[in-house]
Amino acid sequence: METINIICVDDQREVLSAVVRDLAPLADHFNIEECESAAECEELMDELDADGEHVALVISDHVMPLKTGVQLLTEIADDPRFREVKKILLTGLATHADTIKAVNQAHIDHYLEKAWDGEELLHISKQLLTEYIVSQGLDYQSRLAVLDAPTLYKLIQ
Amino acid sequence: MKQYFKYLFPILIPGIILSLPLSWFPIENITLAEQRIIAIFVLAALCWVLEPIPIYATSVLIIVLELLFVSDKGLWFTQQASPDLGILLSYKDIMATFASPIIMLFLGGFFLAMAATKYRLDVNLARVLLKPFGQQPKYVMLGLMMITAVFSMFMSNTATTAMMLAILTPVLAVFAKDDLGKVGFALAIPVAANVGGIGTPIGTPPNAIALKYLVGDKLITFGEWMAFGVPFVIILLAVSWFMLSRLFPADTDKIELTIKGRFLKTPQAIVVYCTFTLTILLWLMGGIHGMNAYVVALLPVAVFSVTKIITKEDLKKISWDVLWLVSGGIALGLGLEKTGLAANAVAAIPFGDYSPLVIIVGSSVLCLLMANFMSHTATANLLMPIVAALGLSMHSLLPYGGQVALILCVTFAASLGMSLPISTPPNALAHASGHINTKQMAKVGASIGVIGLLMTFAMVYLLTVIGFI
Amino acid sequence: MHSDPSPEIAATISRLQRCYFNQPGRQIRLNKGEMLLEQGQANEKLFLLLSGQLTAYYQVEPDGEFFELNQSNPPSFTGVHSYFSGSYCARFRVVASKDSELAYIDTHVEVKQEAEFGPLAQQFMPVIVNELSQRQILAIHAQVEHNLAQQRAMQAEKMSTIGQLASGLSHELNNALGAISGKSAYFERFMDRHFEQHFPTQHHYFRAGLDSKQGLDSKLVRARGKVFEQTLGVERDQGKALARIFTHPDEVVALGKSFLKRLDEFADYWQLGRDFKELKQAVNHATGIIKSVRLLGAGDTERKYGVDINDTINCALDLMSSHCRSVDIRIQAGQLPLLCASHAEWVQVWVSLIKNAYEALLSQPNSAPMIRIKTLLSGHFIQVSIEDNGPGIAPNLMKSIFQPDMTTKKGGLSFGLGLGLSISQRIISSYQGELEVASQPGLTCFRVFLPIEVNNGNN
Repeated sequence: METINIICVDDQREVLSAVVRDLAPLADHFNIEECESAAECEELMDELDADGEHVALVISDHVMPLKTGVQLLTEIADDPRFREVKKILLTGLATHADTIKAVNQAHIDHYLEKAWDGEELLHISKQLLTEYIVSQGLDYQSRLAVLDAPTLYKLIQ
Repeated sequence: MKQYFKYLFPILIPGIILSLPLSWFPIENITLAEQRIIAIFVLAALCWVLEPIPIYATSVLIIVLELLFVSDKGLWFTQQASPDLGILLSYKDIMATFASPIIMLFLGGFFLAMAATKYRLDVNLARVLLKPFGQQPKYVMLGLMMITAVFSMFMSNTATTAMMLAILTPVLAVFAKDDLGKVGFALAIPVAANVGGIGTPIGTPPNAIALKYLVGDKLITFGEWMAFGVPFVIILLAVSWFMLSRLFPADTDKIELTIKGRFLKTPQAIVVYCTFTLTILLWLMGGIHGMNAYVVALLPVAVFSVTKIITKEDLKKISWDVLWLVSGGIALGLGLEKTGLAANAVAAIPFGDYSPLVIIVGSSVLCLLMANFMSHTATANLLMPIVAALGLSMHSLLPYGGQVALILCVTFAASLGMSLPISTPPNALAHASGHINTKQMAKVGASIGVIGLLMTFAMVYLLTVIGFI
Repeated sequence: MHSDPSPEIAATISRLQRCYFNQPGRQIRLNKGEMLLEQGQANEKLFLLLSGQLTAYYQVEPDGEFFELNQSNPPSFTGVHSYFSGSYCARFRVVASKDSELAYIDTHVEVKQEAEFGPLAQQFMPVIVNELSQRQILAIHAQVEHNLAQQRAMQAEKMSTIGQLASGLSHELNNALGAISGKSAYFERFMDRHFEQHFPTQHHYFRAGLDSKQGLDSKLVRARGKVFEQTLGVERDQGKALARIFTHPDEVVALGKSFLKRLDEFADYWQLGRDFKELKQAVNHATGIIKSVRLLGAGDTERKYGVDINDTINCALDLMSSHCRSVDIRIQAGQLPLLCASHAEWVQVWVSLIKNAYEALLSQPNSAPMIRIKTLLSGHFIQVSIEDNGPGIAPNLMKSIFQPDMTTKKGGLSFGLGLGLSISQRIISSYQGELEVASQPGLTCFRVFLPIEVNNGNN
């Protein structure tokens, strides 16, 4: 079966591992990757794409050195290889302008503020993963256990 | 290691079968072609049960393997003259399974369903039809079940289930946490979808596969099928509803389903409404107009293509996998029949010694069991050719309705397997809602399966008594 | 008046002085403090200051206070307005602020060299214009000065409000953090004991996670995970779990097959230990930030004898370690005397200087980013230098780096640099030390000089 990846990006290691913890229920069906910078995330996505794996979801922090989360997500949105990738901005601090950019340019699918609720993050991730799987025509039946049922009902015809 | 078995067995076992000397088979005068068909049949059975590859891929594999090894244009060594070679199939016949009338019937059904969904006929009908059922949970459930069943007669069971569950989701969210009613509602949809599929020849693929064997003087028209199928569905649905509302009574005393939308009144929408009605009417009228169901099925295909109601983008969304899955089954049946294997194999087993009732009950129960654990279509694909041959050869069956009775029992049984989340896609979808546990589903599914099977026997008995079959 | 006159004006003045202001009868001497003119009183004279200094005062309201306006030095004229406007009335009070000599003319003066230079008013014209322009410049200066003062006052007010908010906030946050760190420490001890007693094998991995070094970076874990995956034939996530705990596949092989079978369970315990460690780190991080916020306002950190500057640097590095992963930090610590100082304040200084260097390094790709810290005792000073091989500070920013709201980080809040350097400088000068900066591309050096005698606690 295809490997579907979730990539979490945060320059603070404690935060990164907390995000991954929250997503642990998805670990049986998805591969969860951790990245500490935007550059690392881009490199990894390049590699995964070359290996023919799917990147379904990127969860990124905003305030990071060198390249911000919004910049990273904008670049992902502009990359034809990753047009379908779902994007969550998870941030403690983004200015009004950053937020506008995140919506207009990075086309983020969800905006979450730190400190976030683990349940909520998991729920939203499930919804977005469901959308990705249906839109990409991947097999949803074998992954029913970790998908969001109501989203699925709306999407299949 | 376990996970490798499912890849290993489908290769190894057919391989062994192919390498055995002909004399080892307990069938008299077995030919090489028949041996190859046995290997392909075993391969198909293992692939459909273990699912190492998608089930439609198994169908494609069957067709290609038949073309390679048992066709008149296959690989050179498969055609080398030998006294044991037996009858090779015409490659045209094998390829024609992709476009068999049965497939065209389904294609017509797909076009109707797609157009209905696209012009929101389904949702709008659901909204209007649900209104008379009021707000009392018990009756809302009945309404939902009826509509789901009616829709699944013409649309795919999976799509119907998804649509109805989407309507139901916001309602279930406001139920109290420990309200059993939630279980009842969540179960009602897949049950009704599975049962509803029995109602028409295009309701579910096993019906179509059965039609393939009901030809000549045993022909059952679209209208005739519905004449006994629909009453069967209504009664089984009523029983299911009674059971669900007893087992899982809702504590809430009012349920409000909100379905937004209005009937479209564009010219194209009206074309859809008219074509939909007309096609069904033509199907029901049977032979009066000279067209059979297969020919009628292509009318909506033409109308919707000409009016651009179904565009080329929509065309890409057709469930080719379902069509190919059925094609593979037809090809398998073709191989069994044309090489003479089916008749030979049936002859090799002294079925004549068994009571015809044992045969009917036994094969139906086997079919029901298999359908609970694997795809209904795959079950029908595997069993139907054998059952058809068996029915044809067993003269003792005649007083009980003969081949038709046997085929109908097995076909209905194939649709009644619904006790597990893996039994059918509708079950899997409903289970994913998180409101039902497997035990509850098993209890309801198994009960309805058994009741449905008993009702099937009763129906077939009645049909025999009135002289229909 | 205020500034030195231009050569042309000076020439005119000296000619006028020769013509009109050299008669011995029209010269006066004033002692320091004596008044020359009173505001509002009649004056028909035009004075030229020959030596000493005069100061003008202005009274806004009658009986009000006199404000000092300006001082004039020789050679300059006084009474230009009253003499030439024809009002013959003094506009300011003029007092000698030093012993002064003056010459004057009055209304009866005889015009000299009229054929060559024109009438009296024309002869004095350059002086009059010069006088007016000088006054206007003064007025502009005064206005600018006034605006700046107002700005400074507002900024100070803002900072004091932030300071008050910060100290209130930090008090509340510290309470919450105290509870978090206290309870998690208890929880950790409890689990530790519980596992030790009941699950000794798992306890080993829990401890290993708890005592693990600063986390590995995710890239390394991924690369190493692949090695584990290939050599041991495990799943991808198992490979990653192993890569976090071990460095080499042989270590795992040595533990035997039964270990791999229970790997998921052990990895869970290891991760649990690791979580506790990260919880502590997160609390430390928050505490550090609160400390730095608090220094904005209150600054009431107690100074005690016995602080080693090297200790404070190490402490700062600990705080920063989670941030400065990718940078090679080298310390060369000299033997330093103990000081009477606030440990926290110096940690704060180093944190902001190191963070500043780190951010400078990150702002441009750098193959071998490095921060070098050196401490030494030279004479009566402790000298600490923090160097980075980053891109350097742009010359146009050099002036503003110590201003409170200066930051090179975009958009966000940054205590590190936004307020860091200004706080650092304030703290350093409170110890009568000095902060110097020298920067060029490839080498930026912040140097702190700290006099030991004033800070050794003996005075």
